[in-house]
Amino acid sequence: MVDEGKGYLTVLYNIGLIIVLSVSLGMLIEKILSLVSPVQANTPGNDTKRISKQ
Amino acid sequence: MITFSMIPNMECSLFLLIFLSLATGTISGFAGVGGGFIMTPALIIMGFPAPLAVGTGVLWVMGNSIIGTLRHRHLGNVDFKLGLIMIVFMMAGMEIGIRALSAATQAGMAETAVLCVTICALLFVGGSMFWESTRSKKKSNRDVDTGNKQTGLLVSLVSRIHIPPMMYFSRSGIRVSIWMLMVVGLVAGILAGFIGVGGGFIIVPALVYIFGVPSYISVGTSLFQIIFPAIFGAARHTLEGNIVIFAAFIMILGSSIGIYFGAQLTRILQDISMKYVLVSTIFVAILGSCLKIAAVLIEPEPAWIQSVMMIITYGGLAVIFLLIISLFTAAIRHRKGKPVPVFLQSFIKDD
Repeated sequence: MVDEGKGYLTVLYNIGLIIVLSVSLGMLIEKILSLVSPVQANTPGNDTKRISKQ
Repeated sequence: MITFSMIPNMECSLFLLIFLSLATGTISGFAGVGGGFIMTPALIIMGFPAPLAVGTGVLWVMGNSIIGTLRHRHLGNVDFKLGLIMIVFMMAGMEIGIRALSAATQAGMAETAVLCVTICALLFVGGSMFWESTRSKKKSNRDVDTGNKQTGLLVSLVSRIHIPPMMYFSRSGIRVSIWMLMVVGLVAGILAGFIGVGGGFIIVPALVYIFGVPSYISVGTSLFQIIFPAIFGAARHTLEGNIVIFAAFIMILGSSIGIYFGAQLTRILQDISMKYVLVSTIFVAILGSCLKIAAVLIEPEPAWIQSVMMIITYGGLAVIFLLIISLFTAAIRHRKGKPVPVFLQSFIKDD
């Protein structure tokens, strides 16, 4: 019972750690990219275009 | 060189691990595949025991798909409604696939059955994609002057099926019967569950060639869908003790840059280049599976198989990565108004 509980805690720890790491990394790079060059989203029939900094 | 406490007798190069995850992340972000079918054999070749390579690979795919989904969401490449509906059917199909695998295991033919189904599925998907891509490339060259909009045979057939309830997906710009989504989701799920993969290389071609979803939306939606089976797989492998968390950590750091680079490329390269990259990745996986089946059938296993497997895994990965870098370089040159070889021009989006 104790081992089973420890197993589930490890699952939560591993998956939680990787989710937090991925989301943080994703948001960090997103922030860096938005500072460097903001872009418009891809939409069907309308290809993306870089917004030139005024 | 680094060592992991779970694998005391193994040393691996930190540089190689980061390069491997960077290259696989780039392919994943560009082609919409999880990348587990490249990463797992690569980790085994590096010296990871097979169960730890599979478990760590699954955990890496989970993180990779989350980062990819975030980036593609920002680019407007994820159809969440389509993804959620497909994932329901896919998870149901995966359960059937996993039960079929258990039955094959009890019959003592799991390994051969999995490899045969993998090779057949990859050959069918890769072959039909290659044939269709070549055909549509020739057709698009012809239709440039006439302004014809090209639609695939399967897409036009599926769009004629109007069995209610019909659903409209505004992001993808398609209207399809939910029954068609169910059939495709179940088949993709059964295959993914039986083979033991996330299903990216089945879902991307299915969305593009059956429903007519634009390639860049298929890539983002596929990465979003992969998150769910990857979380399930990672939980199962953690309970089995198959995870090297520190290795997964390093791999995610490496692939985060690659996946962003790959996702950005969907903005400057045409759909056709994604299709060719996906086809190349599928053919590398076919070669790897053929070698594995040879290793199972030939007793005792010849020593050369491991060397050839290493060449195919790392060589194939390097070739595909170089192909992407070449397309990227050509696109940048094209944007700057510099000359680009004529055969590469159809792979690049105009400004």
